[in-house]
Amino acid sequence: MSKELAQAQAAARIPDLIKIGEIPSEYGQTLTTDVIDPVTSTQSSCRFTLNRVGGFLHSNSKITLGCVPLVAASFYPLNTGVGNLIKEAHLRIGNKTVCSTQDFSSLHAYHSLFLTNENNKEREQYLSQRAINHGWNYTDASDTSAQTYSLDLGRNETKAVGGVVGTYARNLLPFQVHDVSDADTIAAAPVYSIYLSDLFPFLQYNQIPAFMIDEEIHIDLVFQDTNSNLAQVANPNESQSRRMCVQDGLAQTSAFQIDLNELKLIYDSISYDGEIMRQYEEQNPRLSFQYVDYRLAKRTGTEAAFTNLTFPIGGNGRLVTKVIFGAQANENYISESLMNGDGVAKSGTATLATPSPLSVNLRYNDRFEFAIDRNNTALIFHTTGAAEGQTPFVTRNEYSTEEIPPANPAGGVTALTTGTFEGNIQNNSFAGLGGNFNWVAIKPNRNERVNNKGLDLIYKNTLPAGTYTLRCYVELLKVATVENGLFDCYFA
Amino acid sequence: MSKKYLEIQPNNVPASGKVSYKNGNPVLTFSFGRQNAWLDLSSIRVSGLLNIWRNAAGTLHPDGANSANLMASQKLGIYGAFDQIIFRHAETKQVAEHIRHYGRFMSSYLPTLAGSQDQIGHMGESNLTMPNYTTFQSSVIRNNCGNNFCAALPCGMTLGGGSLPLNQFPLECEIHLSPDSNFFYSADGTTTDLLNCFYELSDLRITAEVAQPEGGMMDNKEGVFSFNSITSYFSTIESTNSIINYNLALSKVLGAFVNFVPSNYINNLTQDGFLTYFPALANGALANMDSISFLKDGERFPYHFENETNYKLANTTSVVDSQVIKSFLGAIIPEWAHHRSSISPANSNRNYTVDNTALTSYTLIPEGGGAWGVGVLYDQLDSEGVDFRRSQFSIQMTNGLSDGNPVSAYLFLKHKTTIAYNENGVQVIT
Repeated sequence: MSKELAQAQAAARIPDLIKIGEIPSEYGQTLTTDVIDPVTSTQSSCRFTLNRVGGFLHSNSKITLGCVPLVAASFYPLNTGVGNLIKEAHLRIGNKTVCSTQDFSSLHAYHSLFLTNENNKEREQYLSQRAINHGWNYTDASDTSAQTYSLDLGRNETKAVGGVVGTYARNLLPFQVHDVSDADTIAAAPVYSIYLSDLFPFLQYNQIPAFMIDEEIHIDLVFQDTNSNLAQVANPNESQSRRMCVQDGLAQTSAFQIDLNELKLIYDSISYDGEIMRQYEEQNPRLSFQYVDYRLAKRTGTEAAFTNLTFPIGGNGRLVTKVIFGAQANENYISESLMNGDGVAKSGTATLATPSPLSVNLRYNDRFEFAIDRNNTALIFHTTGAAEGQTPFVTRNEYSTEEIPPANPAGGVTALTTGTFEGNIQNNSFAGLGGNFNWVAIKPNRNERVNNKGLDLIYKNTLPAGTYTLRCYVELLKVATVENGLFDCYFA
Repeated sequence: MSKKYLEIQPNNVPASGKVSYKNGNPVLTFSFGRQNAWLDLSSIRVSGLLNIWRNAAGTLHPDGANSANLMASQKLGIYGAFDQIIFRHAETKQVAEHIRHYGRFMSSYLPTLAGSQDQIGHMGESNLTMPNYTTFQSSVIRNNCGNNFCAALPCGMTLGGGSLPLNQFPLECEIHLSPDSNFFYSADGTTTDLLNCFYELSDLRITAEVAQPEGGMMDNKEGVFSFNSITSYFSTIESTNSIINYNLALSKVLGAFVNFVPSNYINNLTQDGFLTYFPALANGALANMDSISFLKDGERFPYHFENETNYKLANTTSVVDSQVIKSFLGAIIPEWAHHRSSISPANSNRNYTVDNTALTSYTLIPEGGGAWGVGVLYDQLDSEGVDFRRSQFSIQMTNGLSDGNPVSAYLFLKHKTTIAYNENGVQVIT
């Protein structure tokens, strides 16, 4: 066998190392972990810089985050966890922006829908404090009959209010509570983490070949504002904490500060046998891969603005792989709640006459995606799952408000409990979970480049009176190249 | 290849747009016409609005005071309304797949393959399941604004992962609805206030994705695709030595499972016709299994031994026999592919009575209700299965059914099916 042929065969055996899942187990890996501080950090933003990483940057590297307690019991929104602290996330290599997400916490809320409830209970509540999982509220004197279900994080209910419905007061596990009571409880405040692949979703499928890049890699984070007065709460008429939720009855206006001492990047770099790395580099003098990035379009208005909206959302001249949208209500930006604002996607109000308040469609290249606007809540739920390729793990009452209980028994019973979690009523639409997970995604599947007129989102919703912001993320296909140590990226 | 969404409404909807068994619409038919596209069978969904009424005019919903004991199967949700599923060639009407007793099949299939969180969560939104009887009653049966659903149709055609060329095989999907007396049952055994109750479907449509070739027409003239299908048989047992015998005429049988319900519960408003629990005596006491044998041509096969249950060894135990329940689960889905399930000791132990007027009524079973059956897996690898074309299939069960109470046994066989199609029509090879 000639030397050239042997080399060619050896090169052909090198797998695509940037593709997660394609690396055979017999390849000897060396995993190096480093913990670095941000090069700059303030209460509004921070930057981490990576210099000449000696391998592939592992996508499950993490940024640790935490807040300093200011009240007796505060916690992160249960759907987004510590991701709520991040308002914008940017990945830059050299002077090129690879990936940039505005209103990150909202997009993070959407992506968090697809974590299984079991995963939340057994893993995420400890890592990021995402904690949506359900259990039964058994009625009194029965261990099988439950008229309602509830959040269930593995902690027994603390107080039985009684009655047939079985409403209970439930709470977080003790370690999750940020408590300002004394120096010990302040020191014991939990520090959570967020994966780089959560910040930049394309990293779930690709690893950055950092050893082939001569430029610096920057991760820029902009933190959530400390307070917001969007909710216009009458009493107290003050701006509400944005970074954390608080237990019912506690101060709602605390300006929680990021604990900058705990702000770290724990990154792993993966390298293989030197010969494999060399061959991989030789085999890929110009490395190219596709990935996705998100562009945000948003519109704010009263409920009337969304009754029959045709919303131009961009994507002009681009390959668009997904459109994700949900309406956030200003009334949800309150700290005495379980979700606190950005992560909410508010459902319209189902009525006897309109059991499906939302109707959606997408128009591009002068044609509609669906022949008929989709206005069946369950079909829209399926459309979202089909677009993502996974099922959203939320309940019917969390996704929509399509349950109208009868007047008898008195007051009616909704399946999602009226009991409390950290003092906040679970089925409440502004302080709890009821109808607040109404994210929708549509996958344009005609395999066409969008023309210069862009995409139009057709959005018709019957929302309760109030002010709303419709956030719409357009997922765009991009191409990245690495050549001669230089990174470049452009829209596909 | 670009794709597009299809939304098809039923062929036979009355002018009101409302469909109900009670008002004379027991069959729904949807047609995918001949066109230049591949139909993604896994994307087929049936969606609509389910309303449950307590009066004949269809204007009043049940509540805590009126028709308060109205119930339906909490583990099935909308699937309780689907009695049979048929896929056929839309023009020649040749049948590609036909699953009878679909609700009974799904009664075992869903708890086996869906965890409790699935049933509370996304399946509650899509299929209206809610695995606790009181929560289901309050949130689905008594829901005043109706229940939107969007259900997949799990069967061989849709789970096989194939695409159907509509230019050669225009498809018709037919759904036979269940009678109201089988969809509903009484929570306490009395039906005084339930006789006018009925369910009604509206805004019905079937949605799917089709892929269209880039430019030009599809040039396929013939094709073949294979999938795992379900064939069902109905039998009745009423003795302590119960035997089920069939000549299956199936060549690639992968597994078989049976679920049971007292025969007088079927299509009977007083009791749950979708109950999948132990065989029972007339008074509701369990007719416990002592031993189970699966036979082929009179020989024990694939196990060369009789499965004696833990009940035979200790008749005071309430614990389900682990080997029986494991074989049952394995017959529905091979162990290596089985990741989520809601079948547990909570809903398969012997703690309950098959009578909804008893204090330990089966209606109280948590985690979605009773989930028990017997089954056998013939092919661990889901490959070619066992040839039963000329062989007799038998199940022999010794049990406590000493009073001659007839118990219905629904036998489901998972087997490989191949469909060959060309310009002349369709051939189904089982």
